[in-house]
Amino acid sequence: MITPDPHLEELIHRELRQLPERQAPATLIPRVWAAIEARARQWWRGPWLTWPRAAQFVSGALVLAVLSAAAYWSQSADLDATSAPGALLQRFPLLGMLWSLGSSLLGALLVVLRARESWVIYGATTVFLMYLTCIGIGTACFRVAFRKAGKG
Amino acid sequence: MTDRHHFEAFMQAYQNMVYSTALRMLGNEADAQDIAQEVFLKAYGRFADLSQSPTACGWLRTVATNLSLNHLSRYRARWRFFSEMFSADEERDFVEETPAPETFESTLDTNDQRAILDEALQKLPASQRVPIVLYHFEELGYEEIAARLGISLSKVKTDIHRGRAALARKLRPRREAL
Repeated sequence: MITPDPHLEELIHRELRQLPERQAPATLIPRVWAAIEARARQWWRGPWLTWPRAAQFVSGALVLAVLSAAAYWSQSADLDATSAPGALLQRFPLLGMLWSLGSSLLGALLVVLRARESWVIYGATTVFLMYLTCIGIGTACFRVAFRKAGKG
Repeated sequence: MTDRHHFEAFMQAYQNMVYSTALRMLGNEADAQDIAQEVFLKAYGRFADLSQSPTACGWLRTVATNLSLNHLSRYRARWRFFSEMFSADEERDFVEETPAPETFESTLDTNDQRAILDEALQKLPASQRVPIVLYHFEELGYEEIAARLGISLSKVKTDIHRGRAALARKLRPRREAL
């Protein structure tokens, strides 16, 4: 290990501290204003918590309504094509496909939860533990590898 | 005075300090401008507190330093690799090349010479420039720098010593010419 030379340290410290601040480019402040204005225009790109109050209220109510509607209609086996949601799903095939997939998954989950079979619980627990183990081993390897590289 | 004018005056007052802090850390004007912009965007988000705070300058400086370090950490693996390509032999040679302190004892006395030093600092490899800036401008200790950069204490000391010696070599010819 190199022992710091106090003489050199003192000299460089003195010289560096005498350096004047660099002049910021004239474009910096206009750039900041442009970025602030762009952010203000695109508030929906920021975190939900920073959205305007009204937007938070409307979006929260909308999400709640969609979830409620999905929960309500998922109870019925098939949507009637004459009903408003059924007509909407028929009009947009991709939406219909997503609805079908989502309701199938939700139905499967409900069946599993209702059955409460012990093997399902054990299986899910095992998968979850394997998942945690993978994350743990991966994190440990990453940290060991980078610490060694840093001290190398 | 409106909020906009207040913030404009705030930026005018601190823009050179923020930009200089980022530039010394990054050694690149375009990156320094990006970081300075990001610092002021964060400051705008909490301007109600900052405008009244006597520690606004320190806050801006800390944020500029942290954002610069974050920026550098994206490229850290690369500069760490190149930094560590120096072998122990090269390190020994380097120490022998270091000029005796007595030969550069006088101080810089012109703006040109300061500009040379500033330029030399910017041109140092990041592995030397960053710890030097953290030590001499941000006044962090060796241990703290090692912790912040995630590198060993010995490497911090070596890199800082190399950087100082490189800066001293830039100063020496000018002094000898005086």
